[in-house]
Amino acid sequence: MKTARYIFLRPGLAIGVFILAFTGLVALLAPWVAPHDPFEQELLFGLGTPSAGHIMGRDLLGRDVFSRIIHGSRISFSVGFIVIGISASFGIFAGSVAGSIGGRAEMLLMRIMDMAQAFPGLLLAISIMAVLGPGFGNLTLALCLTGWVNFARLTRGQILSLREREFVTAAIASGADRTRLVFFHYLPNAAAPLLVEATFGLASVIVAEAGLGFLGLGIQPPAPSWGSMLNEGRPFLLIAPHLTLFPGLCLLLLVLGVNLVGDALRDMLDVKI
Amino acid sequence: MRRFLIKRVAGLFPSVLGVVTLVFLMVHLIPGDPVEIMLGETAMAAQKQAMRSELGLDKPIAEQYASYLSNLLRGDLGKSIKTGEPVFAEIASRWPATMELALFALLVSWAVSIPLGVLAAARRGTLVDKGSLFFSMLGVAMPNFWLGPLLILVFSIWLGWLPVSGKDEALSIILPGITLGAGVAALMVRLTRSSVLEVISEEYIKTARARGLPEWQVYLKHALSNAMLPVVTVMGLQLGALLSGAVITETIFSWPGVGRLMIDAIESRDYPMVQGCVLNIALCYVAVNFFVDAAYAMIDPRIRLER
Repeated sequence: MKTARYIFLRPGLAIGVFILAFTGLVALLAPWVAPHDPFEQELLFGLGTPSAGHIMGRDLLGRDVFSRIIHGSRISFSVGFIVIGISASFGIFAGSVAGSIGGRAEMLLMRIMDMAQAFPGLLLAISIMAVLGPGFGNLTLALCLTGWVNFARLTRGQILSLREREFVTAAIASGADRTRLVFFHYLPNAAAPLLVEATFGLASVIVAEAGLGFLGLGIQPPAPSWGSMLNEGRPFLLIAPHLTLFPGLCLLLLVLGVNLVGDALRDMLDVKI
Repeated sequence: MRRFLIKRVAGLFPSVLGVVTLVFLMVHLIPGDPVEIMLGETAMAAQKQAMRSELGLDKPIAEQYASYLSNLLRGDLGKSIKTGEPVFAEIASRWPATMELALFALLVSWAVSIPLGVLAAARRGTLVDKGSLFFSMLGVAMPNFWLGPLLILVFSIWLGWLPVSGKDEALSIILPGITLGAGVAALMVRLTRSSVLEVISEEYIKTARARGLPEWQVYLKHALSNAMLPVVTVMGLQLGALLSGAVITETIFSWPGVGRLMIDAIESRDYPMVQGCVLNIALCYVAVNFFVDAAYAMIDPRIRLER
């Protein structure tokens, strides 16, 4: 009840939660809510403009854009959650090792993190995709290799500051070993900033997945990734702008929703990252 | 300051060596035979062998690495498989276009974000403030690979005001510049606003007001100049980030820069060129971050004392 009131009192958060919940539900129920088969081609009606039967029009091969967008939300969500799940787990593990063990392990991990962060934004992911080739597995790997560093740095930073707190000294005095310190003291206290980081990370991964798709390096057609749909629509901007407008608008709304939730979580949990 | 700089330069080496090593390993991580992928399955055995020895892939990996490093120090990044031209020369000819675009984008973001951020802080809580925050939120969420085509649609196709792509006219830079700079501008609006709000409660601002200075002077002369330090630093760091954003923007607008060259090279499986582009962009990113960091430490002595 208290949470519902909190959400209601913050229009930004309410809009963010609504967008996320709605898109999540649509993604989950895609096969039942999509009005057409996203792969069904009707070449005669290629590049058809929006109409009553096809509210977002048709692509070059006559496929229903609306149905493809609905199915595309599954790709955005699945890549987003899988990448954040893996990179957060690995990053938190690496950050915990660096922060709690220190010494050479910390130095080595910090140097690896420096190396990964020497590549700007998408460049590392683009390089990995260029080498390994497109596909769901390679895309997930590329985005995980880029994404774990933020979690590792954040976890290490949190542990370094928590290490000085009195409750940790008390736990050490009462005989807690390193593993216990990590699982029962450090990580529970670092959960709030990690949750905020994961939320903003989800938005970044969704955009990166679409960006790689747009460059032709992500999930390959005929799979309806929003990024590759935008790429397919580019040559037809003049005669079929709906191919560009709708997938981009959906992507914008989803990222906006995730960011709104992230902003609200940051304010709610009083986190500075 | 000298100690700070020495420490920072020493800290750069592992990153640079790591970047170089990862870029070197790129060809070795390709699943399958990289030579066959570059030349195609139909290539003759002799052709494959010739390329293998030209790229040095027939030597032990340690030897390959040593010769890669020594070639790199001499500015030799190999030859493009597609054109046969030296990779370094081709990349060097593309850098001015990328830098021009990145600097223009930075200028655009500056021109939009600073006035908007100051205005939002000065009119805190009003419609102007909420509007600028909304713009910022929208700009952060807007992917540049959607904004670019949208701008083309409106300003080139519907209105016919600006060129669709290329770099032939003076106005050609406007749309790619806005596309690349919009995300940074959105980020900077928030930062400028919060930075100005932070200094506006300082004593010297109260003094300036007590002296009877008009509000615009209080904001522009006193608040802004003091609030600019974090803003300028983040903007400098964003220049590095703009370099990777340029890969997508250059692809959308056929802008003849390093990013476009890299995507073309990926499409044609010209791996020496891909390696050269990745290496160049990453090293430039590292260098920009270093210079911004050093400049910040030079302006604000607390930074070098902290580290």
